[in-house]
Amino acid sequence: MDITRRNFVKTTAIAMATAAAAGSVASMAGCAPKKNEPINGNSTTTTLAVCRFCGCGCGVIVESRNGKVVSVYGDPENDSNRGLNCVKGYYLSKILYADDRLTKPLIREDNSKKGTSDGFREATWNEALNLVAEKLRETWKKDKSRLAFWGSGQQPILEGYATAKFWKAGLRSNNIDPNARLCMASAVVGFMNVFQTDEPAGCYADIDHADVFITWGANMAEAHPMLYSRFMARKIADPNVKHFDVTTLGTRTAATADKVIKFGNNGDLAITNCIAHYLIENNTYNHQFVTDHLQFKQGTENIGNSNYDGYDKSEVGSKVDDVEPITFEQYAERLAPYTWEYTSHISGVPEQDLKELYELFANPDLKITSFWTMGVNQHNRGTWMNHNLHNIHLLSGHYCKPGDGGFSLTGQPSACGTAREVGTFSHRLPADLVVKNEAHRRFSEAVWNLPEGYLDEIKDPGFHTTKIFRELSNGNIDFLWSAHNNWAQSMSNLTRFLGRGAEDKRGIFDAFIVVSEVYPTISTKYANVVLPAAMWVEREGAFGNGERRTAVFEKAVDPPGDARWDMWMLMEIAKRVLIDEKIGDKDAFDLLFGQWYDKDAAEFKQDSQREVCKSMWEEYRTFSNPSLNERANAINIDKKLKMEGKQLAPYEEYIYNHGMTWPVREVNGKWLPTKWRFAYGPQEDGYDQQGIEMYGEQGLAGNVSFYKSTDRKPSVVFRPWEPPAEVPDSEYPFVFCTGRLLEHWHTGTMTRRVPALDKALPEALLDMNPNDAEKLGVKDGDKVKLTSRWGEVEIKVSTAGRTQPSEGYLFAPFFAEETLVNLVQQENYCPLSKEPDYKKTCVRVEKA
Amino acid sequence: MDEPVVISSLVVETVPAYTDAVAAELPGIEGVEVHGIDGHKIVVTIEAKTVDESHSIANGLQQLTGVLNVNLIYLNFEDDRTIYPDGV
Ligand code: SF4
Repeated sequence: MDITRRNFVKTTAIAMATAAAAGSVASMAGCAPKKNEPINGNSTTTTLAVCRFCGCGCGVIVESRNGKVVSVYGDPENDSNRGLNCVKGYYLSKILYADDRLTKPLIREDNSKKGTSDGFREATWNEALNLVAEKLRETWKKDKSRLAFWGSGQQPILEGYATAKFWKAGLRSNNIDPNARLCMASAVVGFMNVFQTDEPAGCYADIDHADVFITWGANMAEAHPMLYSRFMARKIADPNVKHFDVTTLGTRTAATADKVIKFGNNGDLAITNCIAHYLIENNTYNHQFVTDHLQFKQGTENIGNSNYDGYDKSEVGSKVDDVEPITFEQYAERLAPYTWEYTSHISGVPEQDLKELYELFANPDLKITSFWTMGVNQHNRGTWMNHNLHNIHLLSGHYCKPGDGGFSLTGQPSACGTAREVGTFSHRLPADLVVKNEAHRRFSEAVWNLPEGYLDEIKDPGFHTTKIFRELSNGNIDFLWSAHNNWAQSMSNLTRFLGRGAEDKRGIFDAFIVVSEVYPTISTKYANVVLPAAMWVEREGAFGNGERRTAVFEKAVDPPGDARWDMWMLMEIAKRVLIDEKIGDKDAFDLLFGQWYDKDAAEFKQDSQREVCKSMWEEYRTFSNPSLNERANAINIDKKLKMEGKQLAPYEEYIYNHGMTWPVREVNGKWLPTKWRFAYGPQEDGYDQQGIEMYGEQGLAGNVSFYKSTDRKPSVVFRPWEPPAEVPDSEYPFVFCTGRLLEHWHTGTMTRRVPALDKALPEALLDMNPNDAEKLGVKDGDKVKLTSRWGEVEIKVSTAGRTQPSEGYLFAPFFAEETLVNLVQQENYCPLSKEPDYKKTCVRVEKA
Repeated sequence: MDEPVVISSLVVETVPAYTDAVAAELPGIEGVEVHGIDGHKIVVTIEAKTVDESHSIANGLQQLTGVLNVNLIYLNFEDDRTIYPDGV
């Protein structure tokens, strides 16, 4: 760089950081480029983007020159992060350029080498697409229960939307599920059961208003760095702000908390019930809130555990969703056993600490924000625990005010946008609709221009994630397509699912597996065909983050080699599979995708990816803007679906506004986001004015109206304490938890290709309490063998690691392919959400 | 020929009681310059040869006593020869 340019770049860097430090959006916006105005010299192109890594969903501006990304900076105008990125931002563009990027389609020639990276040959796109389509069509025609798609919260929204449309309306199969099943499903079922609408009511700005933060099973310091930084800023701005960390483990988050409440034995269920009990017992609940807003229920209990194949269809397994109404008094009676003493006994938490937590909720003047994530969701009672958190916030009226509410954090960049909102789940259709509801099917048929009744064939949910892999291992799946996930590392009980157990069936080796990816992973080793994909800003897309923010990223550079846009692959495969198929009297492919893709010319009809996305978005957003489609609109009104509850804006608005949180409302020709759902106030200030005026009621407690809930009343469902599936015993005395650490994103397929990140955290270590290490006679760096009822794995011990487990507890991250900790993870999921429990498999430890 | 340089800017957030101490310590680290202080936040640039080096310096800042958080704001890496051996 010559000196003039160097000075220019440095001055820019300083100006941006100074503005970000000043912290006012206005001052930052002043120095931010207005869309597409390069700040880095005239020869650069500036494009809008969103970070590729975690669920915080930080906005990023990308600058490129001569087809290469040359700089990135935090987007000051994206309200999620206001110009800040965490240090992983250093690698946002570097991950595009690692040496082993997949740039050619690969076809496996030697099936005996499955499970290794050998046995592939490079192929042309035509060969690869023909082969994939032939296998998919063959399976589909023969027995469509034997095919499956496993998608991802890493996929952009419209790619997920088009895939769901192909699978549900094209193939009429519900065997499609996302990896979000592994991280967010319990939150989803919790929201749906309580509010009848998914995703949090609040937003990240709650952090700026709260008096108290409570983290429940959430290591935000490592897993949500940008939000954690905002959280610390709030604490520093007001020293009275307190943070309580409710956890099973000492973490970086616990290290900065004002109070750490460590529990075990599923004690979180008891703790929340204890708080609810004393709110009622001491008459400190919010009477008006309860009267105006809540209904009470109880559900099926003693639901056992799902750690065997027949659970879902078992006597109890088939009743887990059942609930019945109860009175407030009956609810109080159900809570009565959760005294300080009993709860302390169950959870191991001192009574005094329980009282301190309760006092927070009993104080109507405090603004309390609860954050929760994988510790709550990946739980054998994950859905119940989500219920219980909503319960205590609702009973105490700490809900739907800025800084005062329950917030379920999300893990992936687009778990919300792509998995939850688009409906790539086995039981869902777009926009919170579900396959088993007749009106929902009619509405979807209307938007997709399908004959009435066409979707009745998919009225029964398909295979959820664990079921897909169970059936794969049983030899009952012939075709699996997995896109942008890494199941061969992230699934639980890998011993079985990788066919490594002595008695396990080896369906994984017989099935035809297609993997869409950007780098080789352990999952590509099990592939028959690998489809090399464009990543991040090599194509246009949109993500939906944890605060309901939809944000577009623009295409900045071309993908390398023959890597292609997933949307193109999907169109090419769909047209081959649906060849000569009809829907009514129309060509099936043309009816579903003909607006965007010319199957004969083999190209998109629109001139640019922007135009393709814009046009497809218009169809997608019809789900939440039913007035755009007469037939859909009539069903929306007749069946009172209130589809506008998730209203989305026209595509360009997301670019112009650097992302917006739904529901987005049109006020005098301007599209405005909603930051606080169900809270009445001016739409301009981020309140849900239009939603409440349309469907809600004004003047109720807290100026809140839960207009999407049945009878406008969320359900407080009593959910008792029940034990973990496995409890420590003499054979398996340790409780083993897995999770993420700062440097590596999930299974490390991107971040481990970055030498510096790999150096910062080179291997997965087993964190152990020093007393346990002494008892076992092991020291730091020793290799041990972990054995569970499910499998075994070797790993090095650390007593000074990133987490500080209590005696009897162990932690290891799951990013390392060479240390596959999920070989020992129990195959057990929350019976309601089907989300696996990754947090408490019992193991024994032996010196290796 | 000018030396290749990767330039990044960061906001280092500190425990308020430590802000001055951290700000005094930072310039001693190779490649690090302090450009201003706003409350408990310090505006910093890092200059290094590669993104990797820049990242490890940034990571080092995270370890300093009194540092709560390191936020990346801006990164220019057109000169990183490990990414673009022939330049951009
Ligand atoms: S906090 Fe998450 S979304 Fe934000 S820059 Fe870091 S990794 Fe990306």
